[in-house]
Amino acid sequence: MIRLLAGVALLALVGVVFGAYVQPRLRVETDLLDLLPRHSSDQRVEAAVDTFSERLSRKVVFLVGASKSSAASAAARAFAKELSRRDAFASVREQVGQDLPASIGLYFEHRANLLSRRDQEALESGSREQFLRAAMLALYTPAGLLRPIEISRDPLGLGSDYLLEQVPAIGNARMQGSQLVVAGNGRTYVLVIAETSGSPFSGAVQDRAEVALQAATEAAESAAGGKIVLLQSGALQHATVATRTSRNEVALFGTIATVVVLGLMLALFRDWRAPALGVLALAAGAAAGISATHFVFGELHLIALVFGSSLIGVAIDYSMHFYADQFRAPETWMPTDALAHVSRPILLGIGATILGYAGLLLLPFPGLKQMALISIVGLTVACACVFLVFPAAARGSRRELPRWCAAVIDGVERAGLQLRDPRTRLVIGLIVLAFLGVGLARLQFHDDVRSLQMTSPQLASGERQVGELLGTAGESRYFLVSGSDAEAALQAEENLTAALRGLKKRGALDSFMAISNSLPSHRRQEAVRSLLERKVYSNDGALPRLMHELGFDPAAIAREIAAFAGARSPLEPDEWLLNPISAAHRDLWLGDLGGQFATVVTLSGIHDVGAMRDLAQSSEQVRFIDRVGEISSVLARYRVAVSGLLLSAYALIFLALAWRYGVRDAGWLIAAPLGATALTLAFAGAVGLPVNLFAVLGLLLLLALGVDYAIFLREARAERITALMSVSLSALTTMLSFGLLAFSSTPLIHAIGLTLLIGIGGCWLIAGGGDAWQRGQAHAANAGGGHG
Amino acid sequence: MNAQPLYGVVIALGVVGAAVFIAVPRVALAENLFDQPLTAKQLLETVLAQPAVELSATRVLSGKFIQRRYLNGLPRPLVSSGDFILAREQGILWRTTEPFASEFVLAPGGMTLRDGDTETHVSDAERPALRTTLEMLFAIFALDVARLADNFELHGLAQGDGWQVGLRPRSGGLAQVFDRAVITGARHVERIELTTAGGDRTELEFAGVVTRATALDAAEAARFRR
Repeated sequence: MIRLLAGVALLALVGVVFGAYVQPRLRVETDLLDLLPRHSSDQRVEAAVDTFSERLSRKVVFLVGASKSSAASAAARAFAKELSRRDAFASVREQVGQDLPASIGLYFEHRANLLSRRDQEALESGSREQFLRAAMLALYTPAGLLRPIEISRDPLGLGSDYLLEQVPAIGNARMQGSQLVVAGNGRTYVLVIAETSGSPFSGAVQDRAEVALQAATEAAESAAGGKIVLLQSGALQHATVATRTSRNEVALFGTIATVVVLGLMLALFRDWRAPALGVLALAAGAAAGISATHFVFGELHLIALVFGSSLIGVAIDYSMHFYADQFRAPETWMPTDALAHVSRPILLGIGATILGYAGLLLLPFPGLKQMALISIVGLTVACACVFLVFPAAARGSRRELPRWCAAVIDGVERAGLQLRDPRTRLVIGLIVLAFLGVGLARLQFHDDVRSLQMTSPQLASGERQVGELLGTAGESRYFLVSGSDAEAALQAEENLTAALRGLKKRGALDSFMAISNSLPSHRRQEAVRSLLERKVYSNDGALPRLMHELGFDPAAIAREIAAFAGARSPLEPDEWLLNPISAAHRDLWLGDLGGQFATVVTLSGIHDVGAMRDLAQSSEQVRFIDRVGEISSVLARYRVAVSGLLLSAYALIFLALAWRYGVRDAGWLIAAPLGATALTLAFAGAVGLPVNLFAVLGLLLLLALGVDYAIFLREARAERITALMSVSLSALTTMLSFGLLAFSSTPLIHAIGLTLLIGIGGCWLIAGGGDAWQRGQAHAANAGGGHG
Repeated sequence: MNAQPLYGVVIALGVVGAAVFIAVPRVALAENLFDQPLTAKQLLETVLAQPAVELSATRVLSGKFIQRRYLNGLPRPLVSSGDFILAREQGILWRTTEPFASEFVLAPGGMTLRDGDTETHVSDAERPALRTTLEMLFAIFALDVARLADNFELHGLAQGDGWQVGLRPRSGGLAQVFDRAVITGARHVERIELTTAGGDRTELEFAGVVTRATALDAAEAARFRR
């Protein structure tokens, strides 16, 4: 009675906490990178990298295309207008070149301190005559038409050069009116750039963005008067598809597993309470697992949820074991009897399983920790539910094992007895050995994190088209520069860019983008001012001489020199950030991150990675960030580490079994998961599936889930049929639910699912076969004794 | 991770705002030229009906020029003269003979300035705005109406045998940098006047213009190369 009360109290607690508190607050995270370990020991570097990645992830590039360029232009305008009316996007840019006067204004305010690299070098190294002549030539040729600032305001073109130097490479794009367009596939595409308001990995943002995009596309089509082609690039679309797919998978896999498992229970135990109680245990486990994850992590990763859905097949085992006990003595069985017989194997099973998942808790992978926690708590609560509620609530059907089931078990049993024949054993043994030999020889490992990203071919091709049309080769590696204050960071960046210019000349690098081009350090601003004072604005400097030669009157010349003297205040980061002049570089400014200022230098076309790494080695303030490479190497490291963990787990379990059953029997017991592991790896090798960390983690779970099959059969020799049925059911439901994961489009889940599908199947075969063999030998010995 | 390759593009777009700068056009001409905007089709069918046929077949256009540049604060214009070749594939070659001998080439790939033995080259990669500039100048010189229509509001007037085309930048950066352009001609473009927003003005007068439907010969093409 107390037992039942405790059970009801547990269920009520789980139900209320989950329904009233957790469920409304639950935040589902979908960013794959969130699952992976933080790799850097330096918190500030982590923070800077996160800030920058977060900024990038919000960008979405659209190409609005139509066969007529006027239609594309109108469509893009309508598209951008509709998009910016929606709160899903924080900034939408379709028009360019609106802000030139503000940039020119900023230049004139600080003109004494600003100079393009090219002009600085010409003034520093070249002769003054040469500089003057080049300036003069520009005025007498169309070269003078290429300037953003009018010649009469900037006769030497120094301001124009400074502004032009900051125009980034725009690939194949060209200006058309106030839009940027690219042409390709017989269409004109107009560029629209937007930023999501909020992380693109948030489900709410994705939903809002989808509605907004739908409306904007309709607006664009009605403006164009026909169909348009919309190409998209950015994290948003991938995150959206990943979320949708994962949600669908949870629903689909969960439903299939539940329906099959419950149908099986109903068919076997022929009482509606069996599936009803089974569902109760599953629901309690799921609610508890999700709640625990919410409390510990503050969020639930969608992939942990997908993984959690596979627990249906494991958690239902406890209910199955409980109910299967009735076939021991169908006529007289009382639910209260069951625990005395099944609690030991159930506890053994859950113990091994929890140990296995606890292994995942040891790894610094937030995602795996979530998977482990949701599993441990979910299984424990489901198991507690069986122990506390079932004895009072269950009813036996008072009927024998269904005939069809008995027939199946009998078939399995007879197949096992075939193993008595030495020739059969030899043939099977040879086949298995050959398979292992071929498969294991071809085994290969692959740890690239990019292979873990879910990609839909359609999105990937859209992304590729955008890249091809724009003609830009992206690069995921960049430099992170830091300093104790803004000035220190900018100075460090200037030292770095000086080296990068050298590498560029050498061909180690195509190009780079740095803030200090547009916002020089005070150090450089001072150097520029003194250079300008000496060579340009002095009485015999380039400017007075040019103006004089052109025929300006002395008063105008004096005015220019006075204006120079009045524009000596240094350009400061805050002012720069607020001015449109920083638009292209603003994202590279990470600013104050806990007492450390940081900027990013982006790269494109790296031809010599070693040279980049060397640059970072030479300065404390510069780091070369290669997230893809680092994460991949972390994955590789952990694959090796987890393989070690797996081996030690086998060793430990073997010792424990040897202590309980003796070395010989322990060998037989451990053979099931170990053999299944070898078979799984051989299968992967044979079909050319590369093994990654997550497949190895699947093998760890295989040990945790599969080691008890053999133990259970060994322990329950007295009730052979019941035991064989329980183990077979357990293997079947586990294979079902993990087998469904093998169909997941998330590569990580797919890897674990496939590993367990094959592994559990192999484990069941070996455990059953091994048991049959052993009993066969015992039987033969007995029979021999009888004859003699 | 996905987003990173995108970054170049995003940045690229970011400032193109500040990038588009052709200090071009305006003209003090018949005031009513700018009264009525026309579509490219209208312009080609009426005002430019005659020259358009010939220009569309033209691959090379060459002749002599006089450039007068009027700057705010300067009492007299800066005058230069020389000859030019405009070639559809290669770009613009501008040889100034007075007051200095120099050669200016604006070609796909970049801009080159030759002054005696010294040659200065600025590549497209260094100055991404150059290509846009080249396309725009080329469209104006060669009267490429379709291209012009993308960027300008078009106006036109027929005057006897001759015609005038007026251009106003549609919006955005160009509109803030210059005000308008007037192209005057009869069989060919004879004169271009470009006025900036601040009032600097450039006049180009062409004489002895020859068009041909054949490509440049090897010697000519070589002058376009670096």
